[in-house]
Amino acid sequence: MDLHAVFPKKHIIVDLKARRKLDTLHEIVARLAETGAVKKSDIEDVERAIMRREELGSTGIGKGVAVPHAKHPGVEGVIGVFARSAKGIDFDSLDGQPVNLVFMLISSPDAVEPHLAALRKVTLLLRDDDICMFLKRAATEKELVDLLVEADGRLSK
Amino acid sequence: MAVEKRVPLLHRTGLHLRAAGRFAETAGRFEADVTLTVKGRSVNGKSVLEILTLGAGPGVELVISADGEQETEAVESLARLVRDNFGED
Repeated sequence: MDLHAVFPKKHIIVDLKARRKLDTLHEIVARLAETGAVKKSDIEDVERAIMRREELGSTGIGKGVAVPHAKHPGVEGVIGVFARSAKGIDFDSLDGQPVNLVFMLISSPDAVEPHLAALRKVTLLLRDDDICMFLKRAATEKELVDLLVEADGRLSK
Repeated sequence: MAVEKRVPLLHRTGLHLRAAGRFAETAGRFEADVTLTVKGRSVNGKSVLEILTLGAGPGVELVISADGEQETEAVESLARLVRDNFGED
C-alpha cells in the first residue's frame, strides 16, 4: 500500500479554495467526479456518506491533518484525494488546530484491510516531522507527488 | 509491576479511526501508562495517531498493558472495550 498509489497526481489539490469544512469536503469530492474515479451518479451519495461520518465525530486527527472517509460500493479498493489548504480550515479537530492537510479515503465496503493500511501509512507519515513540514511548504503538484514517493521509500524501510 | 492482557481483535472493521479514538479515550481516563502492542510493535495506547500506525485489522492479537495507578482496572476496561467491539455493531 503506497501513498503515491492511493493519492495519484490527478488526485492532489495543491491549494483548496474552500475555507470552511463542508465546502472543503464538497470541493474534494468534486475532484473524484472530475477524474472519473467515482461515477457522477454516485457522487452525491459519496458526499453524503462523508458528511455523515463527520457528524459521528471529526476526522481531524491532529497535527493539522484530517482523514475524512466513507465506504461506497461504487469504488474498488481504496481511492484517495490529498488536498492542502495554505490558510487552514476549522475542522473541529481533536486538538483544536486548523487543518492544512486533508487525506480523503473512499473505500469499497469489503476493503477493510486496505482502508486500515492507508490510514496506517498516513499516520506513519505524520510521525515524520520533516516530511510534514515539506508537505505543507511544497508549491506544486509535482513536489507533492515527489514527497509522497519519498515518504513511501522511508516508510517501507 | 505492569499488568498485561492479550485480547483477539474480532471487530470486523478492525481498529479504525473511531475505534482507536474510543480506545485512546478510555486509556486516557487512567493515570497509568498504557501500551498497545500488535505484532511486536508497541505504541502509546492513549494516542489515536499512534494506535492508527498499527493498522490492526480483524483477527490480530492485541496486547494491552498498563503500568501505574489503577493498572489492573485500565487493562480490564480496555479489554472489555475490545471484546464489545468498541460499542459498535
